[in-house]
Amino acid sequence: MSEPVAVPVPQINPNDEHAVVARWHIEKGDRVRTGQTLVTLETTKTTFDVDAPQDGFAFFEHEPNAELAVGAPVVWIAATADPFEIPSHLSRSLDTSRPAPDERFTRKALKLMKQHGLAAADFPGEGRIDADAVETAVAGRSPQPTPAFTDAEPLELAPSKITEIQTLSRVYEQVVPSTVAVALMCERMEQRARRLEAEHGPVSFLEICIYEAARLLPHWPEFNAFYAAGSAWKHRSVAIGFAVNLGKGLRVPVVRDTARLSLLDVARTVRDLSLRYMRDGLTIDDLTGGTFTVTDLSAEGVVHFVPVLNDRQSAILGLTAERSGARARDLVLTFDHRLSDGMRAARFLAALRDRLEGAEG
Amino acid sequence: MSEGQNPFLRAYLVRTVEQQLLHLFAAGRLSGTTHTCIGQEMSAVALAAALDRQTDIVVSNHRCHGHYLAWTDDPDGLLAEVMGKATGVCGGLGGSQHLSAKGFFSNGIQGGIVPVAAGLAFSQKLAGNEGIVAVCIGDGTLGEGAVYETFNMAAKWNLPLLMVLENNRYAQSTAQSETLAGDICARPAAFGIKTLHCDTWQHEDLAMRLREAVASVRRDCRPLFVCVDTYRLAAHSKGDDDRDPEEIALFARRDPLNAFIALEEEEQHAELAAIRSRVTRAVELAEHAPVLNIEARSIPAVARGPLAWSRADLEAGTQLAAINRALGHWLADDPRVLLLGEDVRSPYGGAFKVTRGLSDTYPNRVINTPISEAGIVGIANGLALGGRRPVVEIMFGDFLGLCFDQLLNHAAKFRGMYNGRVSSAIVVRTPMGGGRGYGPTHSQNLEKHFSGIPGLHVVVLHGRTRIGALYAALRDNVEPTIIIENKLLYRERGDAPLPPGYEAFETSELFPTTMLRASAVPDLTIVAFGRMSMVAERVVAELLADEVNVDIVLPLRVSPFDVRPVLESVVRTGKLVVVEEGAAHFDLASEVIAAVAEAYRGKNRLQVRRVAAKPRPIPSALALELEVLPSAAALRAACLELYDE
Repeated sequence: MSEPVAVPVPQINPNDEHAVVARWHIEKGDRVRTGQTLVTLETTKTTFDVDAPQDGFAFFEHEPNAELAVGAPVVWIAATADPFEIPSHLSRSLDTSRPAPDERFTRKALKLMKQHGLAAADFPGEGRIDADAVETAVAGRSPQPTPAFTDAEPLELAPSKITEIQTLSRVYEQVVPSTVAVALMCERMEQRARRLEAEHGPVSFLEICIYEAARLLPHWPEFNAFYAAGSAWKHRSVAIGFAVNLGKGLRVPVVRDTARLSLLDVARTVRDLSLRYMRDGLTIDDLTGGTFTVTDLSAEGVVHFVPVLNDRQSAILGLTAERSGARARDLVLTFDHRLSDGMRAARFLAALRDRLEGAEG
Repeated sequence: MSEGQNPFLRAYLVRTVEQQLLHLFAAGRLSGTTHTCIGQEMSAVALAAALDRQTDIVVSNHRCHGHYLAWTDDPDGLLAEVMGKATGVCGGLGGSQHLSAKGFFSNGIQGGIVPVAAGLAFSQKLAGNEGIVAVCIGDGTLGEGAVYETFNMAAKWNLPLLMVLENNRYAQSTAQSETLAGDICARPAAFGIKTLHCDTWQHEDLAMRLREAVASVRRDCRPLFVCVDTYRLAAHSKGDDDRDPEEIALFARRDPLNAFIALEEEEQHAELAAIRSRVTRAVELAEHAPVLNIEARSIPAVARGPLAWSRADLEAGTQLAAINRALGHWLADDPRVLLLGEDVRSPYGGAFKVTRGLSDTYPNRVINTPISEAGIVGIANGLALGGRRPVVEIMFGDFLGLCFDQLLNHAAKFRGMYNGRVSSAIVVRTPMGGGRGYGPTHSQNLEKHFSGIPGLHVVVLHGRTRIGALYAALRDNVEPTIIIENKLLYRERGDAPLPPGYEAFETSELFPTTMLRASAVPDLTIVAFGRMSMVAERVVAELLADEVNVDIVLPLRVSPFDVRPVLESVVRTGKLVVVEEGAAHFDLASEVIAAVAEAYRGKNRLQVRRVAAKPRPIPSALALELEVLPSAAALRAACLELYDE
C-alpha cells in the first residue's frame, strides 16, 4: 500500500445526498484495524458507522457537524503514520457524474431568474428555490433580506435539527396546512379499550389509534396522499409512522402495511420499533416510506397542539391529554388543504372518534 | 405452342430468344445488361426435362434465361420482363437476372441463392410431397463461401437439393485456371455429397445423367452435385469477351445445337421458322405493352393520417421470459414456424437462454445450426419462399455482418423484385448492445446499418416493449423483419415502475410507438431507442427535481420509421433529444431529426441534440466501454443544454 486510500461517505438512503459527521471514534493518525469503527455519520433518517476497509493509519480533516457529500472521502488510510497532505481536489467528491450537491435552484428556477435578471444572491436562506419562488419574487413580493441581527447571536442547532429544518422548509414551501380537532369522550373510549384488552391483551391508546386510523385511511385517500410535480398522488398502501422522542432524538418509525395488520400485530410492531429506538437499532427501512403519521403528546400533558406535516404526506394525527375535569381529549388533524378541506377532515376525525368510542365496528 | 420433347427445338427457343435480346441491346432498344447462355442451352433443357413441374422447383442465377425458358416455355413473359414491361413475368421489376414464376426463382448475386435453394428444399422435405429443388450455379460461383455452408447443411440435414454446376471455365473474363484450386467435384464430395460429371456435347448422356440425379435426390432425400462441362459461345454479358477467338470457334463447331441447325431437313426448317416467328411475335407484344404503374404497386412504408393513442398495458415479467413465452406460443399456434440458430436447443437454450426449453416441446422445429450465419439466413429465406415461418437466432448482433447479403439482396428484395408474388417473412432475432465488457465485436448496436433498406423491417426492442403483442403482430407480417434485442434488457421487467407521475401510452399500430408522459406540460422530447429507454427514464426522473418535464417517445419499428408519434410531442416542445446506443454520425437520430424537420410546424424554433456512442470500436475494458457508450449524464447534459437555450 503506497498511496493513502480514501474511504468515501456511503450512500445509505437514495434520497440523501449528504451526511453529517456525528462522532469520531478515532484520533487523527491512529493505527486502525480492518472492520474497526472510524466515524458515525448521520443522515436525515438514521445514523450509521463507517468501518475501516483495511489496516493502516487513519487521517481526516472534518470535524463533527461537518456536512459531506455522498461519495466524498471522509477518512484516508495510509500505510505509515507520517502525516500527509489530503489532496484538496479530491476532498469534495469522488463522483463527478452526480449533479453538484449545492444546487439550490431548480433548472426551471434558474431559467426564470435569467429571464428576469435575478441572481442567486436575491434568494437568501435555506431550502430549494423552485419556479414558484422565483415567480413570487418577480411579482414584487421581495425576497427576505439577509438578516443582520445586532442584538442576537447564532443559536447552535444539532445537525439533525438542521437537516430537519431543510426538509420541513421544503415541505412547507408548498403545503397549505390546516388543522381541525374533535373531542373524544374518554369514558366510552376506555370502555372500548377494556373490551379490546379483554379480547387481545394489553394495548395502548396509541396502538389502538394507529390500528383504527389504518382501517379508515383506505376510504379517505386524500389523507394518505401527497402533492408533487403539479399533481396529487395517493399512496398505494397505508404505512403509519409514529413519532417518538424519548431522549434519543425525534424519530418516526413506520408500521408497514398497517391496514392489513390485526390490532395485536400493530401493537407488537409498535413495541418492537420502540424497543429498537431505545437500543439505537432502527434501520433506514424502519424510518422511511411512511404515508401517514400519528404523534402522541398525551404523556406530556399537552391538551392542544398543531402537528407538523411530514414530507410526502398529506395528514398527521395528534393525540392529546385529557383536559382536567372534562373527561374528554382532542383528536387533532393537520392536513394539506390542497388535497382536502376542513369539512372532510372533520368527518374523518368524527369517523375515527366513533371507532375509538366503539360506536362502530 | 410448345417445342414438345425434342431437346434441340427447346434449346433453339432459348438461343433464339437470347439472340433476339442481343439484337435489341445492339439496337439500343433495351437498357441494363443481360447474360446469355448461348452454347450452354442443352444443360437447361435436360435439367427441365428430368424434373417434375408439378412438385419441383428450379433456382437459378444471373445467367437464367435458359433455365427459365426450359422450365416455363414462356418467351412472352421473359422478353416482356427484360424489355421492362408490365406484362413481364415480374412486371419489369426484376429484369434479366431476377425472375420468378411458378416453381422458379433466380437472383443476380453469386452464391447467395444456393442456401435459399436449400431452404426451399427443406420446405419441400417438410411438406413431404417428394418434391426436390434444383439449383444452377456457374463455376465462378465456387469462389463464394455461402456455397460451402450450404454443402454442409444440405448434407447434414439430408435436403432434397440437386446442385447443377455449369462449368463453362470462365468467371466473366477470368479463366478458371487463374482462380480455382483443386478439383471441383472433390469439394462437395468432402461433405459426403454424391457427385456426377457430364457435359453438354454428349447430350443424350447428359439427359440420362440428370434423370438419374433427379431420381436419386427424390428417392434418397439427399443432396447431389452434378458438374456439367459446357462452353459459353457468346460474351459474359455483351461486349466483354477477351477469350481466344480460335478457342470460341473450336467450341462453336462442337456445339450440338449448331450441328442440329445445320441439318438440311425440310420439316425441321419449318419448326425452326415457327420458333423464330414465335419469338418475333413475343417481342412485338412486349413492345406494345405498357410499363408498370409502380405507384399502384408500391409497398406502403408507413401509415398516414392521425394517430390513436391509448394507455399501454405494460407486460409483466422479464423481457427474456416474455420472448421465450411468445416464441413458445407461436410454435404452438402455427406449425409452419421453425426456430433455427446456433446452440438454440436444450439444454443450452441459446447463448442468452431465450429459446430455453423450446426444443423439448418442439424437438423437430427447434434446430441447431452450424456456425454459418449466411447459410442459416439463406436457408430461412428459402423456407419463407416455401411458405414456412422461419425465426432465426443470430447469437450476437455483431454477426449480422456475416449475413448482410442474405438480408440486403435476398430477403429484402424478393417481394419487391418479384412483383409481390412471394412472401419472404423471415424473422431474424439477435441481441446487441454493450455494457458487459464483451469488446469490439460482441457489443455493437448495428441497427443503423440495416435501417433504410427497402423491404426490410427493423424492430428494436425498448424496455417497455410489449413482447406478446409484438409477436402477435409478426404473425400476419409478410415482410422480412430483424428484431434487435438487447443483452441488458433481457433481465428488465416491462412493468417496472415508471418515473414518478409518468404514464405509458401507445399508438394503435401493429408495431406501436410508446410514449411515457407526465401530466405536466412537457418542456422537451426525448426519442430513445433500445436500451436507452431505461437511461431516458432515469434521466427524466432526475429532471423532475429540476422542474423540467420530458416526454419520452419509444419507437419500436425503427425502419421504416413513422415520425408522427415524435411530432406529436415535438410540436409542443420544439426541443428534441434523440438517444441511441449505436455509434454517432449517420445514426438513427439523423433520420428522426430529418423527418421531424421536414414536417415540423411548431411555433418555436426547432432545436435538436443527438446522444450516441462515441464513434470508435467499443473497448473491452469495462471502464473504457462505459466512457464510449452513451450515459445518463450525457443525456441529462444534452437535455439541460436544450432546456436552457
